[in-house]
Amino acid sequence: MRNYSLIVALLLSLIFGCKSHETADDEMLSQETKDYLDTVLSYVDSFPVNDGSALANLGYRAIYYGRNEIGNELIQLGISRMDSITGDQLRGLSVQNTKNGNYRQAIELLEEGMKLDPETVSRYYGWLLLYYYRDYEKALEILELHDAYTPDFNDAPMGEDIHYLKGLAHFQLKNYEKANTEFDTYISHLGNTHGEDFVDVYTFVQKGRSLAQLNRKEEALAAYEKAILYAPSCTEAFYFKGVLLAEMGQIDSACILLNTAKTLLAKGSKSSDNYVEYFHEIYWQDIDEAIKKFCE
Amino acid sequence: MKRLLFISFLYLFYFQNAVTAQDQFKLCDGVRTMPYYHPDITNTLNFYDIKKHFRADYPEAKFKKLSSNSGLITVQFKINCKGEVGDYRLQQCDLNYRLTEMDVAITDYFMSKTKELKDWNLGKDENGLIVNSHKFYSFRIVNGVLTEILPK
Repeated sequence: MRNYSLIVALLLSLIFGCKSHETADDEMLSQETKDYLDTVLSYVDSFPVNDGSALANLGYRAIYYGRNEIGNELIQLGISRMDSITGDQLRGLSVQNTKNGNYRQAIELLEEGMKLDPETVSRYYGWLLLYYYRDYEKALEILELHDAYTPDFNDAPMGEDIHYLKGLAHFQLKNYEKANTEFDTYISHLGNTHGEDFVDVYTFVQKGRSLAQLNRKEEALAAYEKAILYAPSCTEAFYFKGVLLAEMGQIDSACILLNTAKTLLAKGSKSSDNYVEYFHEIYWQDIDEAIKKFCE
Repeated sequence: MKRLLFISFLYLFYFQNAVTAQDQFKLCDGVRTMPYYHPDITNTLNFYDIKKHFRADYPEAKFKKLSSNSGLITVQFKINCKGEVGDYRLQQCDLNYRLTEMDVAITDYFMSKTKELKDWNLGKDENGLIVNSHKFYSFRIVNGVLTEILPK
């Protein structure tokens, strides 16, 4: 039902509709892309091929449906036909490329967007580099840059506290002291303004993991307990606390927690995301391996 | 000699069919080709096992000795509504996200390991129709060391 995809793409593109043109015989396009565009024009001959936004949007939709090369050619052609473009528009055009694994094309658009509007684009870029690219050094660099625009304000790029995000990046880089400091900054700030129970519960899990790495075991246990206090079905907190207790030699207590984690996971209590794996994500195999190692 | 001819025939027959099977991969008509997250498609292996699948045979010591051994390798592929997999494509960039070509031994490893993944649980659209899907795995490699497997 490629035709259906085209029609959907067309309808969306026509929202931007301005001028119409009959052909798009541009040298930038491969034969495959020209054929694609010809098919589009055969369905809607008034498609505005000279409207850069409409072309770029058509390209974006093509990428959404897995037509990566065609989509990116159309985006480039569309950009070349726009009178002007904002950093945020370039950011928007990058999104589906990241989601399809077209990293080079996505970063190229984002870097151009950063040149035009770093304050807006960095809000997304740092978060993206952390979760979708696992590029921790560069993520930190962009998150720091974004944070510096509003020094007295706790930003929340893409809805997540910037100190939590920086803490995650430091954790992945094994900078556990810095990670712990960032998690604490987030916890104390939100704790003061709204109450500690408003803090994303996985902050306590990640804080516990940082403290465990720093060999501050009692404090780590306290952090996991906070997570369980605020989210009694937090499988990950039970798991990480169970593993730490086992490493501390408290096998009976550890095994109770690990089996609780197993039960919770079986009931579907698992932190996961549609697009990427979380840093604190655990699987039934992790729990089974811990039970096998410590409890059998 | 007869035996050799017979083996040659089998070899040709097998690979001819293998090539044909790859060439014959076709998306299903009448349904859209959707990204892996909408509707969600999964493999019978969860991501824990998939990471293990890619890491288990990864010849790190060998790849650390190669010269072009840093960057991101992405293997994109499609799954049709019958669960057949094909249209494999390779993308590469360096750690600064610029076009690069890593050693073919590394790219071949990830391409062949990705092709070993079968048994996809397919997604349905809002009309209950099983859709075609597109999916990818990416691998961040630093000096031959496999540091990250993406996205999930």
